[in-house]
Amino acid sequence: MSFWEEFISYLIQGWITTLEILAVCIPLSILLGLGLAVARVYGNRLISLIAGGFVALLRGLPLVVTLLIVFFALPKLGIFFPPFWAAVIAFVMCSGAYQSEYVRGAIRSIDIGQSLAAQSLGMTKLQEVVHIILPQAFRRALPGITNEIIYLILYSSLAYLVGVQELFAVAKHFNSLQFRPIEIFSTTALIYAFMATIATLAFRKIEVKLRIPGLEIT
Amino acid sequence: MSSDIVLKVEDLHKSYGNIPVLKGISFEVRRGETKIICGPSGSGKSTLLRCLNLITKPDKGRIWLEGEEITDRNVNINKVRQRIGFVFQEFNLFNHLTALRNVSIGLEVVKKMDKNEARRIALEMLRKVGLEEHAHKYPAELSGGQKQRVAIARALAMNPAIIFYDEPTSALDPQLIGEVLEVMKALAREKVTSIVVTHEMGFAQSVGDEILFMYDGKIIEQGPPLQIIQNPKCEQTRRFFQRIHELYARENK
Repeated sequence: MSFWEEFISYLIQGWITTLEILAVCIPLSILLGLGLAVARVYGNRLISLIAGGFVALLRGLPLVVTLLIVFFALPKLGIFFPPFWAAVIAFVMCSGAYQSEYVRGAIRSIDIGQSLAAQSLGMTKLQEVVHIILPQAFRRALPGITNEIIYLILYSSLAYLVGVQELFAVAKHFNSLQFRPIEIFSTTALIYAFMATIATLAFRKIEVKLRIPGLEIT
Repeated sequence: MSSDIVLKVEDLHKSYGNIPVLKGISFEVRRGETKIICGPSGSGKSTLLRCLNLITKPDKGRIWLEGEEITDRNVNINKVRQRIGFVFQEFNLFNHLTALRNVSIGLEVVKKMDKNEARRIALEMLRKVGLEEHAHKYPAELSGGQKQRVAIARALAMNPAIIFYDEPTSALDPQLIGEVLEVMKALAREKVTSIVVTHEMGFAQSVGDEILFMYDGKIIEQGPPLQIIQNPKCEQTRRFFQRIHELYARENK
């Protein structure tokens, strides 16, 4: 097998793993971001404090440290995760914490009149949040969420630290066998840039699809 | 309590911090009646309406809606609010929903009505306020007057026992006020029970059954519109209507 044939088959293996990580992390982190933001804005004092503390903690830790805690420290307390899931948990927690700040800001920016009108119709708080507040807040938070998703794509490469055979891990491994760093790492870099571009375009498309006159972000 | 009394308010009090805003309000609204509330700004009109649908919690006093005491602690507030329509000065249409969905969402989400049935009723309500052709538009695509008419349709769709209007034309350009008042007049003539906070004296005279004049957190005078506007007993009432009259006279010059 030629260098390129072997390299490409390696890379595709790793790329698939990276896509698997992202396929789990993107939806879960968005859900966590929404959940944390709602808990902080609408939760009682205790729930709001817990959610706020979680966000402050996760934003205060380097992602590497979070990842190593989940993979190496938690087993000492009897909580074991396989490498793939340890990475997913660390990424979802970190990205969700950052995303929640965009969503929280968006919720706070919704005019109080929207809430008054929902209450006046007899909506419960939950109905109001689900049907009136979040659809508007999500649209406003979307550019910020897109930003975090792109970060997520890039820092999914940190999974190599706990032994997940994702894109960067296989590239690094293959380089140690062949030592052709220019070809190997520039190809890897292109793939990350490609994924980030696709994500940007996809979220732009979602933004356009969800666009409502008068709710655009200017 | 007589069954044709829709709303009864007894000795309602509300303070914000140390500042009393409502100082003992009592009145009744009969079925089919249009009550007008007016008074200078800061007299407590908006606070009163918000206390009546419990968006603001009154400190003291009792309220009955169709004979049921809604200030009772065991009452489900959300259930009560379904029976009270509220039209805001600033419209407060749901910005992410079309006119049609603004009107139908209460039926779908709160009353758990079938979607098609909710839309049918919503369309009927929009027709009633003359906006059937605008059903697909979003709030940002409507004029102020159209927004307020959608807001009225949204309140009507819930088939409430009473509708509160909180200065419904105060945020509108003068040329748009007429279309909203026409809709409100038509509803008043259909005997839709309502309380209207407004300074539109023409409206008050043509469809109001009674004016309650508020001053400093109290109803200081009440009676038939013509009598209150033209021949008030209290000095404050007289001064207030004189000022409104002068303002309109100047505008119409």
